[in-house]
Amino acid sequence: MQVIDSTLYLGKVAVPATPTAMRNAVAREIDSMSIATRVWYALLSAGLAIGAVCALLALPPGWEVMGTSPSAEWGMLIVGYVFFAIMTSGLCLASSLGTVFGIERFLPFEKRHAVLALLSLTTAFGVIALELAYPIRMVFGAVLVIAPSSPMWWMGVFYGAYLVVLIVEVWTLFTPHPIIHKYACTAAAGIGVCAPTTLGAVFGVLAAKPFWFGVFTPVLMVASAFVGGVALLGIVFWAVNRYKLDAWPVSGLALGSVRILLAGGLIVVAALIARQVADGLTSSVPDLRPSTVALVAGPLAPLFWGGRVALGLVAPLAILALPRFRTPAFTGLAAILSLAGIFIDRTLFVVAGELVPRTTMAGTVAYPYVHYWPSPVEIGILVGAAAFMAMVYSLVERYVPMGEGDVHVFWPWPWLKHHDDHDHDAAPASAPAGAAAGGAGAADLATADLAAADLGLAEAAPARAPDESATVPAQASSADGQEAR
Amino acid sequence: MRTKIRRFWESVRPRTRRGRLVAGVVVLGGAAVLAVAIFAGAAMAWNPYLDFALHRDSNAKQWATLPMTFADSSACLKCHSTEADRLASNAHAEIGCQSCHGALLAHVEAGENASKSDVMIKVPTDEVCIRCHAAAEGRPAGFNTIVPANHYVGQCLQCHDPHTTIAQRPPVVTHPLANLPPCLTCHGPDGFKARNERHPTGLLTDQECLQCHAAGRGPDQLTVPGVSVPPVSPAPQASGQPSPSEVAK
Amino acid sequence: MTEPLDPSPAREPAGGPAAPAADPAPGDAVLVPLADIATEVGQASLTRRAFLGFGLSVAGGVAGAAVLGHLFPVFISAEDTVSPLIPDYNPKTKAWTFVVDTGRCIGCGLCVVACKEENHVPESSEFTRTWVERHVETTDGTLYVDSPDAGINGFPPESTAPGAAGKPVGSAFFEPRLCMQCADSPCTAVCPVSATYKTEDGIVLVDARRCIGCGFCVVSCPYGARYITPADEDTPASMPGVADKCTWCYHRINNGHKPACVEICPVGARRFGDANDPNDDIRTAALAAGAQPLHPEYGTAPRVLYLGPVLQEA
Repeated sequence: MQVIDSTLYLGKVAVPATPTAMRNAVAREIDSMSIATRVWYALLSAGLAIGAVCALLALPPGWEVMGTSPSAEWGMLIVGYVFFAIMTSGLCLASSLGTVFGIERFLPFEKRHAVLALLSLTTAFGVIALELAYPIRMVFGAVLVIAPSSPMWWMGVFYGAYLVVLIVEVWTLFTPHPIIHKYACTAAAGIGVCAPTTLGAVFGVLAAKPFWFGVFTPVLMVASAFVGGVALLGIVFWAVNRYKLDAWPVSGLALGSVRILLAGGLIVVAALIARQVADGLTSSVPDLRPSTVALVAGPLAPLFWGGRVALGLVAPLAILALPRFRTPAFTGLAAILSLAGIFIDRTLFVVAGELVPRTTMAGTVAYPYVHYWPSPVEIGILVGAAAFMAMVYSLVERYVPMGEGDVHVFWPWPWLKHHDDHDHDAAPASAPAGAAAGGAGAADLATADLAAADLGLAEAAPARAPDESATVPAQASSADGQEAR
Repeated sequence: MRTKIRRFWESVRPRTRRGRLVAGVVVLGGAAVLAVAIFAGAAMAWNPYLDFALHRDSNAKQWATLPMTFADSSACLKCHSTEADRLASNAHAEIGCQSCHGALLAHVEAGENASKSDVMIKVPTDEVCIRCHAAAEGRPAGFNTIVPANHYVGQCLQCHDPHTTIAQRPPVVTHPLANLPPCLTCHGPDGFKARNERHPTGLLTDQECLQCHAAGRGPDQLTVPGVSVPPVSPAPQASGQPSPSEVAK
Repeated sequence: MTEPLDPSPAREPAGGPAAPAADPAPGDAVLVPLADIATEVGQASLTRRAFLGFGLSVAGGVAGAAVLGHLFPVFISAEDTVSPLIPDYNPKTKAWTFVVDTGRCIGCGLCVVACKEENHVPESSEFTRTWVERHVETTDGTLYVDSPDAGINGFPPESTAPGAAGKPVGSAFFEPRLCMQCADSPCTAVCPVSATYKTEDGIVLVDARRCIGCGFCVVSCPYGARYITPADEDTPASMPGVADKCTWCYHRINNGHKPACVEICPVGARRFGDANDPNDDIRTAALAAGAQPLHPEYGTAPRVLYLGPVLQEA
């Protein structure tokens, strides 16, 4: 860490410390961007602005800015929350193959998955906070009074723990704490199964909504989570590969892994959806059949057959299966289609469950179908959420070294330890070469150090007793790291 | 121990005036912001959790002590026994006063002063009658209904007294009917003694006119004006007399 | 995309620390590397300092909050929570029973009016604690249900359900609906913050101060008895964005009165009483007549009992 005039350097990251410096730095950054990059950030900023306005509209409790009604109380914000939340779990499930089970092929997932998972979970929490009327009370309520009969409470427990575990995981990923990291990864993978299961149970316990009810709902939720997470990784690795964001060629390897996992996940999800439709059409459970008919032949049919089945399942599976499409670009396309399919799937699932209510809902008879259409505010919040995630991730990818060289490889079960285990209990210098050249410098990202840097800046400024010899090596090593990349 | 603390303090204490200032501002400012945040958060969110029991009496008490607006039906009888007695002989006997007259707790609580205050009862409009007695699918069999389009809507209370039975029937024909042109010749829109606006629009046959106006009539019976008509027998069904067209239908 | 998207910091002049020195922006002073605090007291003290400062802030914050709590006594005191609810009321002795007779209901909708007035339920028909619906079975065997504006204005002559107009009617009846106060209520079970709870006399209530407005209870209720209160209208608990539902007029039955809808019903289609009270005719009038709950197959042990045509429907 060093302070040069009005700029604060934390390892390789330069933080402007005064308004002028900030303005200059931003101007320099924008100047250095290509047109496409500028357009990308401009689009994301616009999305964020829309999201911010809509979020402000949605903040006061009870304002009827949503398209929801007592008949369809859960709308697009629940869909968005479920989408982002299960994507978090999917990311952890996919990367656990490398981090927990030690399959080296999947190791390149490690670093990006952790950042993406934390971001995705943060986004999910943001969306659900806007959906809830009193999110602050939830913190008190869920902690002070246990409600073991409520799946939503368990969901809160698991996703709350998830947030802590992911923060630890990301922190240890950029700092030399391999032991903590190892257990954080294992815990994240475990919670990665539990969390979407309880999220599925939120829907699965509702006998009032036959379409949601049943043991297959959590299973479908976990499977969707897996596909969503893998697809997001696929998109990111495609972008890394396409725009050469990484010095390492591993993004190409990772795309191969994505192809395998995505195909498997899509087949499982397809089977589960086929089961749901077949069961719904033949079931004797009252009101289950009308919901399923609404899905496959009613108002949701175009979205189901066109969006969910054709674009979200058949097209990516075909792309993944045909040898001529085995290129990074097509794998990226398959990943995008799969992710869109998962979003459409969650939308259809939530809406179809409420479309044919069992009863008159608070005096409103819905015939033949409940009226629900997402309001501009709901759509705006989802756009803002997606833009938030993409924006933060773009910035992270731009300023934080995400090369695989920093990956901690570990084997969580010592009794099963095999011979070429990469043990990081020693210094981080034992990490693989490459981008790790500046590893120690990059480790300074911890927030505590940031806070300390403020004090250090204030104190050191009047002292003017520079010990240049102390700063120069760090600077040099950082520059070396830059060149190596 | 003391040495350790001192050594720790030596390693962290700010060494310049500016450092001390910044450290003090950061720590105290942070503490102040946190104090307000914790206090406000706790005040907003902690109170509901003070009572941890499953049966949360504090909240149940809030629900249990909300103000009422409707009184018990029996409260009306203390002052309005006359109306109650009249009502007792009627098909409306089991209807509480507030069904037609609106919420009356404020009126009851005003007691003696009720008539002077602004908590007077609501005088029901035809909307109240129609609400129950307009024909609609689903009304129980035997319940008296009318088709409002064919009935004299807007004037219910001119003919019907809800507190007894039918109080005032339509006027009967008081002149001989033999060898006369149809009723509407004289009583139609262009006649010298047009029917009033309560009547259904459109042409009616004599038969239909006489459904309501027939009591005491006879083809050759001359009723001298001023001679009292025999009292009307109570309607077979207490209230909501079927209209001519209703019967015709 | 013709131009490659390249956010790599490697190419950015500002990305590395060496860059500003090479290319100082106009107006910037000469770059002088200042003393790293690490040289003075060691790298570890940075983190120590941060944690100490943070810890002091948090401790000061907690202490400050405690002081504020004493200065401004906004916290409810323990006495507020003391039983009994109101004098002379023992919830444990009550067996409240609500009976709906669809054979008597004439669909006037006065109960809906009374409920809104008594409980300050929002005016809009979308937010309703109790409502009346009309079940019409046409002669071709199709069942139509309608409830225009939740029945608050009564019912038009013909069913307003799409497709029902003009069809000859086989049978029809009105079905008043309200919260079933289920003994095994899903809404109580699924509430993540225990805002919904059951009183000792079996009424399911919502603690609006705890409710987070997630809507889980709304979707969990198989009888559709719940709604989330809107912001711009008067609401029963005077709080927007929380779940609300019929309480069987808890403030009335606690004080020896009948619920407002029972009080106003002109035909006695709604009856209410204490089955434990020997002087109450609710037991003989309704229970003995074979009143049954609506849709007991939902498994929630509903406690509103129905008489009349609805029983043949179910």
